[in-house]
Amino acid sequence: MASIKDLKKRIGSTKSTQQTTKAMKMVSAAKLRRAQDAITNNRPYAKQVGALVTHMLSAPDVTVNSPLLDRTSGSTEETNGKRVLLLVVTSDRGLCAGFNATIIKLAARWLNSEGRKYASVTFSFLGKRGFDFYKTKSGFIVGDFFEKYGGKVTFKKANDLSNAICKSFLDGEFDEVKIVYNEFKNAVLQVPTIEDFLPLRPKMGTATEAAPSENVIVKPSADAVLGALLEKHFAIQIFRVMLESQAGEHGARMSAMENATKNAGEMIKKLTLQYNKQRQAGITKELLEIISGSESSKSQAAS
Amino acid sequence: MKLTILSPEKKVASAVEVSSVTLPGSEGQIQILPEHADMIGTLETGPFNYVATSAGAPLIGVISSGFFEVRGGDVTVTAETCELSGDIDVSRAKSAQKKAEGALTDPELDMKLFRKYELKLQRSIIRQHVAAGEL
Repeated sequence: MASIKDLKKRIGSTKSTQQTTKAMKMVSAAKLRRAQDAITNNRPYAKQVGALVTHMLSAPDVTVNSPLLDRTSGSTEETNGKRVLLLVVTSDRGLCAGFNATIIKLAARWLNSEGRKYASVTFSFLGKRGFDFYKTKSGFIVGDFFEKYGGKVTFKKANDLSNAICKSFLDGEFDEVKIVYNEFKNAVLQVPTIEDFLPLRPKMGTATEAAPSENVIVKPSADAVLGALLEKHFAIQIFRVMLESQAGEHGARMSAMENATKNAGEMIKKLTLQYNKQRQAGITKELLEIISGSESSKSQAAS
Repeated sequence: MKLTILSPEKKVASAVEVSSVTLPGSEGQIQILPEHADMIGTLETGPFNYVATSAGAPLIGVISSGFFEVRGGDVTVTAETCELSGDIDVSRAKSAQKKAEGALTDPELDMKLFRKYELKLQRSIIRQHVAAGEL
């Protein structure tokens, strides 16, 4: 059994841990608020650009054949001999419960089931955690680690990253690009998701909404507008993924730290109880010794 | 006519009732007045302004590459960056101008980089002009 001195030490150190986790929880909460705002601010923009792409594609006179587009919808099953890039989006730092582990697990599961159908699978990484885990593993090609795009999420970073990915796609390095990331649902719930990124498969059957676009004036030309739109579209997608992942990270860390704080509190309670019990036991023992000592000296004096 | 200006980082204007919008279209400046036909177009970097019916005086700002859509008489602008004249960081624009000017003096610059810095210079100058209320 631990001595009183040890117990006191442990209570002290648990208390300071609790302080740290509490502070981290507060920081994450503040960051989460900001990240959530960023998502809310970005959504209308992303939606509008998405709508514009749909409008443009559904216009009857537009017959753009961008390599970024896949108009033969429904050929998703055709994976023979294709090379795929999977962008694994994790956080740079840990201490956020299962946030990174679920992504890593999902990527591994995907590799074992879907990944086998492809000729080659390349993993690229955004976020240090995923890279650290996978850099020594085998069964796929370890691709780029986009370290410089980590940290604070800005649209510029998303744009640069998207350009880099689009470029390697257009250069023919990959036939498909997918992203695995944590979709932000709310502060305590992140859903690990795998999403198709490239090529873009336009959603057909939205003709009813796009019907009035028949008499639209398009300047400078449909091709130019669509080209520019597509370029933006991918950057926006990446930006959204980065924002969602960032918000998810803070959410996960917040709840992880809250749990840690609670656990530390319980630990302190338990240790304090034990400490008090032992202290009391010590006092009782001393008292017993004194009493028995005095009793024996009394009985000696009496005899 | 309602105007909405969206950028990836914030909503600059949301369904503001306006009487006129002037934008830097990629084929020259374009002014949109109420009852304009449906239209989709691209935007270049440049100054823009709009006249809110409630204010009277035009609000000016800088926009960099984006799109606009006129649909059913409402205008939606999606811009990569969009700043109203009050929000422009003049000192940042000035330092960007210096940097771009410095980079442009390099004779080794290839075409792509040259164009990049040229655009950067252009943007920083437009920013300063708009901030000073000269455009």
